[in-house]
Amino acid sequence: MTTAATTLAPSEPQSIDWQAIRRDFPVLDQEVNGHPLIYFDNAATSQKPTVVIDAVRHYYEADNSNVHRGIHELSNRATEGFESARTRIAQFINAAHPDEIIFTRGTTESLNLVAQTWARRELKPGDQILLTEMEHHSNLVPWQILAEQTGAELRFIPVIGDGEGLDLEAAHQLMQGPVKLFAFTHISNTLAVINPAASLCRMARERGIVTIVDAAQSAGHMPLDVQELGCDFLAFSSHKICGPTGQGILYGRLPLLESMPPYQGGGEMISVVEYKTSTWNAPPHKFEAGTPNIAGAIGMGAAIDYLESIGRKPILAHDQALAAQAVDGLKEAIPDIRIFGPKTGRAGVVAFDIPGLHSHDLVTMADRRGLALRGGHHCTMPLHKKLGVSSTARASFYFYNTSEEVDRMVAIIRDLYAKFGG
Amino acid sequence: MPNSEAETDAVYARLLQEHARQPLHRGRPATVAAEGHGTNPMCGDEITVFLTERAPDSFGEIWFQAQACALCQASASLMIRQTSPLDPAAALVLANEMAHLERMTPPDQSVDDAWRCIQHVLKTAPRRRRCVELPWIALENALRIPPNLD
Repeated sequence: MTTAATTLAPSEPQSIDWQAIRRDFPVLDQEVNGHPLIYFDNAATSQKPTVVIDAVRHYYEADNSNVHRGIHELSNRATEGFESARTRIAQFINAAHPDEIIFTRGTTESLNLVAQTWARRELKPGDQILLTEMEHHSNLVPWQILAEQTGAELRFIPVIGDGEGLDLEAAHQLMQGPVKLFAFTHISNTLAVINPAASLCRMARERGIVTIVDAAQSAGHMPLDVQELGCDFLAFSSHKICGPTGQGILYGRLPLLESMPPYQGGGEMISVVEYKTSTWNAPPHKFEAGTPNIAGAIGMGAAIDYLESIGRKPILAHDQALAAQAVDGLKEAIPDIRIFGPKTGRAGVVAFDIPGLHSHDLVTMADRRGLALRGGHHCTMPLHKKLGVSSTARASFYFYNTSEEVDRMVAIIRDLYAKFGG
Repeated sequence: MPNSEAETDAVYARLLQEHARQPLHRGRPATVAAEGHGTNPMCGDEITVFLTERAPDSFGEIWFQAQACALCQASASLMIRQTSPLDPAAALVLANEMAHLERMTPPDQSVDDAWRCIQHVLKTAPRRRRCVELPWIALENALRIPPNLD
């Protein structure tokens, strides 16, 4: 078995054997509906390499036990695996301390945690919550709920053109208002825009605005350094970076985490419990009530080791090369196709609309040819409405995808358009 | 056995050309006595169904406006054909059944070509059940508006 974790050191794109890396993913070696599987739904979830599957299996086969308060050998091993994952995740995003990493069920829970702890206590009527028009529902709906609870108002930085990016002048103007918090996506899951996170955070910090970065689409695809970004909070999921589902993290600057009320009550998050009152544990445990997803955290740690062995710079370059190839190929194949997002420098996502061919019909017929695309609103319904479409088809790439697969996708879509388009 | 690629292509061609691209009564009619709306959270599609009358024993004609896939539009076309001979009470029973496909007994497949095509696609893409249910949900909403007794 070849695994990138054991055979690769961080390297430049040209020296990486992407085909060898592909063999680390057993799920990719299969036919679907009589055709070799082409998995282009990576923005929804990534596939898992053998090293991650093995780490989860090893935990359940050899170390399964509850963490932290057990003092027997299995509990020691489980705790070591769990906390060591936290340390590696902190290093992965250059957090100042592992205590700044809270384990959650994923990005959605991380964002809800901030909304219902720090933000619910701090916001009052007349305050503003600043978002962008390209947010995933998970970075929109929690703030709608919070606005309803606190009387704060929602404001949005506009998206320009056909989803080419944010209107940064408008962002600056909007931040002159009574904005208390600014939550934004690092990479749009629909537009493939890579937002200038560091300068947005700097702009917000100058106005004393707390920042929350949704890194669901960026954490596994490009280098991330929370200290360089200067954000207050950052969230991402394990399952989009080759780790298990049901697992994610919230990064928060330690002084903020220390000042925040707990999210949920229960075991682990307490210091002392009396019949009528309790006191809270220190972060991160204050925010981790109940038995956590231990296998998920261990698997996430293994996924991070695996990604680090490849390097996120070459991963980004690979994703971007495939996306550029897909955009060029689709435009050439279907002249009246509408492709959303920036003209240059897009992340590894291509969302498009073919006149006369609904995304769900296209995706159903592509599936018969072994091609896994996504059709729908990709949890960005308001953005789709702004762009004047109810749904789009989306291809999203990762480092185990190949240029040959992109060529095959273009050929399949060209064929479907010829048969059913317009 | 799963449908072959060629079979699915042929069915889709029929769905698009004969049922989705030339559906019955697409658009907003001159007179609207009642209307119902349906949305598909999977894809953002929307449909509005219009009734030209809303009397105890008649709903007139059914029309619809939709931003929707071939499956949904073919289902709307099928809905208009199947409900045209029915009174409001019978149409409501049928709409309620078709709006919850998972709990209904599939009707005789020879009845209607659109229905045969829809069932074929659902065999390969069962998660698209909501696309088929959507027009019927909108119709059910429209028929639940109380009749005008004037």
